[in-house]
Amino acid sequence: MNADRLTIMPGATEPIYRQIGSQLRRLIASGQLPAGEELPSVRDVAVQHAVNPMTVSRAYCQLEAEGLLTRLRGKGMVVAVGAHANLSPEQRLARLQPQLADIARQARELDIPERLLVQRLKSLLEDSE
Amino acid sequence: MQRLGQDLSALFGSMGRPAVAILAAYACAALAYRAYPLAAEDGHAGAAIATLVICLPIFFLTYWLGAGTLAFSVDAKSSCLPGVPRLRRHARLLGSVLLLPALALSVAALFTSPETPDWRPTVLALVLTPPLGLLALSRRRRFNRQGSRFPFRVPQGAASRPGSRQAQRPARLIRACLGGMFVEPSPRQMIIGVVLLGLFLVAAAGLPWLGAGEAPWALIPLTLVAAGLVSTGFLTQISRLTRTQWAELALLPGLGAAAVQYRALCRAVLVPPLLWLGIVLLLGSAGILYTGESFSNVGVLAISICIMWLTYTIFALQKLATFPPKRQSLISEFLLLYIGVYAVYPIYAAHAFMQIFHLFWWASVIPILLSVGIAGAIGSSVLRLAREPHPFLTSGSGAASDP
Amino acid sequence: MSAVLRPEMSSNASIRCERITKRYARQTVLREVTLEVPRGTVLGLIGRNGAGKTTLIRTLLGLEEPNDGRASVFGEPSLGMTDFVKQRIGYVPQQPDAFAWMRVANMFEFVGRQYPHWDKEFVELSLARWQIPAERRLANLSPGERQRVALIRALAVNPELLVLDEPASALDPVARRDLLREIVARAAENGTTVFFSTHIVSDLERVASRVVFLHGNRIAVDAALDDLAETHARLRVPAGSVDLSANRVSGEVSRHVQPDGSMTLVIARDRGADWPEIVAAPGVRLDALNLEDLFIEVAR
Repeated sequence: MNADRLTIMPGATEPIYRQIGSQLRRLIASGQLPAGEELPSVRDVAVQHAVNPMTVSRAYCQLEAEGLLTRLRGKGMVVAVGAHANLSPEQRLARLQPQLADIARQARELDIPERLLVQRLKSLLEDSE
Repeated sequence: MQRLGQDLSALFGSMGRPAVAILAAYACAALAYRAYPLAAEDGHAGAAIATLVICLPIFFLTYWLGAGTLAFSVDAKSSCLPGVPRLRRHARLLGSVLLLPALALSVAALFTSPETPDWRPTVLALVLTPPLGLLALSRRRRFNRQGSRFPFRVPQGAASRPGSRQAQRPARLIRACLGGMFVEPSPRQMIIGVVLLGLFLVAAAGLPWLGAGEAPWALIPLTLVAAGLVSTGFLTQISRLTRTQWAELALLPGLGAAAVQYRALCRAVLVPPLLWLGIVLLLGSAGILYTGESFSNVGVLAISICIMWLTYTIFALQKLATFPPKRQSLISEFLLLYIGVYAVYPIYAAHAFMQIFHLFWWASVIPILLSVGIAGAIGSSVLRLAREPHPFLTSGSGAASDP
Repeated sequence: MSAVLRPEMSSNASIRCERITKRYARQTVLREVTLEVPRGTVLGLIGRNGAGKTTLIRTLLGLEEPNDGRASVFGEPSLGMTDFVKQRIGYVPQQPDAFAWMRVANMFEFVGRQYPHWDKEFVELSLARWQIPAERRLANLSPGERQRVALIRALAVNPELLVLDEPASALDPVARRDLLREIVARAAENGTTVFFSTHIVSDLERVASRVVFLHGNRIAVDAALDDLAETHARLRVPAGSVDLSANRVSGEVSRHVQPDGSMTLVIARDRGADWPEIVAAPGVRLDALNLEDLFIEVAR
């Protein structure tokens, strides 16, 4: 995998390590990062995007703890075998939990009717297909 | 024009008080001259008045000294030189202590006969100044040995690290850091320097002749001022060290142990004008003696040059130790130096033009006081630079050899 | 308000200062500032102009003596730094003025002789990459070029501690990104400690692992950057809903009254702890903050 497949947004409220983590999870869940694919080294990602290497390392370690990545001797971090298959739709949905919760909260504040929100969500999903 | 106004106000902000003090000292000297005949004629009352008036210049001189060192510390507050709150106490103490011999001298001089030859006080001044300077230096060494009273001591005597490359002589390093004036004087500086030197030589050699007429009134101050310009040229270079520049230099390794650094610093800054001034003194004295003038003229010339160099030294050290946040223009630098140099002029004027013996000890005591005072100021700044943990001065690799 | 303090003296600290107080004339620039920077940290110092960032940096490096407190670098007191420590520090001041009379190449050669780990190839590469003429006098370079030269000089030392005072102020975005990459690479490979002050918050968010916010002559915020969203938040309290005029909210960093009577607070909590109860009060809103918002809210 190339380091520039990640996008870092420093100004967002989400910390950078979470951004990296969620992007990697999405790539793995969608199958774009197959099992056994080698991830770029912490240093390479850090230098490419000019971010603190500890931040990158933290994201990697978190994914390793979740079983999505494994450390291979001599190769660095690779996508764990079965990482994609391990995730049921419910587990994959759980990845979106923070964003969904945020949307729900904002919808409540803006007093948007639930029906309208679900409708918009459905049309967005259809568009992206 | 506005710039000149700003410079003048900045100048008088820091040097106004010493200037006023000097002028007041001379006013008192003139008054005392008037009082002196009283002492000789009216016995006790006159003597009392004369003593009182004698003490006034000393008081003003102390004040000047204190104000001078205060100028150090006032400027130093805005500098990166540490130890500012302490230096004032010590500098004032030292300055006052060094003035005690001057006081004793003046009081003693009051009771000597006005008929004694002129040259003794001037030689006395020449002879006294180096020992007093040495006294100040020895006090510095004693303080160093006793150790510091401050929260942390400067760690002493770390051996030179293996693998440190090509250590250069600290003096060279410092000269290099301070700027090209010591390493590569520009052609313009060289030309100006030579012209001024020539002027000074002419004035020094021709002084006895000048004593005869009216024209010299203009030439003497002109040459003194011109020599001041030479020093000012150096001073403006030094004063261009802004705070940030000094900071970068302060963190540069390779400057050796504290004592070595200090010596190197002084050598780098104080030595350059010595060569020229030395030549002036030599040739000027030769000229004076050749024309058969009394030795006292040589003495006063020596004093003038000595005081000029010492004054330059004070300001150079002051500039080294204090980093004004903004650069001062050449004019303010020039005025700053001239105020010190001006101290010399009336003495020589008095000697050259007023052939009155009763004035002799005023004319001679004042140079003594000034020399002592200036030596005290230098001693105190020496003390300060050496004792305080200075960002520029560290201990570390002591051995340094020229590659 | 919340400060990451380690009570015991950490031998891993690269810079450390305790209760630094610095006064200029009658103005107190720093009041009882305490900071400890372990090795390998990339620390960003932010604050408004005149908040004392430069003073703090200079005090930490022993270039200024504080009125109270002490600072140390690599375990040695800053005011009496030995050559051994100086050889491991790279420092870039805000306006690098030194050696203005020297030519670029001569200056690098002169300075390089003082450092045991001087990287000559790095100097040559950087001069070429940033297209700085080697035969020109430093005084005749543009401010941006001079800053780049100073940066190269600090980086070529291969320092263990890199201290930068507003390093990017005269750099264009490309050069700035280069600088950040350089910092990151050194932090990754050598565990270099980096301490820099900047206005450009986005740069800080990228490379810093810790942020210190200097405001009102004290440290207002001292937090790990990754945890900022979890540890700091903005609270909006509508007018009349809760009476806050009497006491401070627990963990409060700052508060401002808006023109309509409502109040905006910045609050902090320890990692894993809960927000104070006021968060649950009716009408009170809790927002996450990014670093720039935090800056603006606290420094208003």
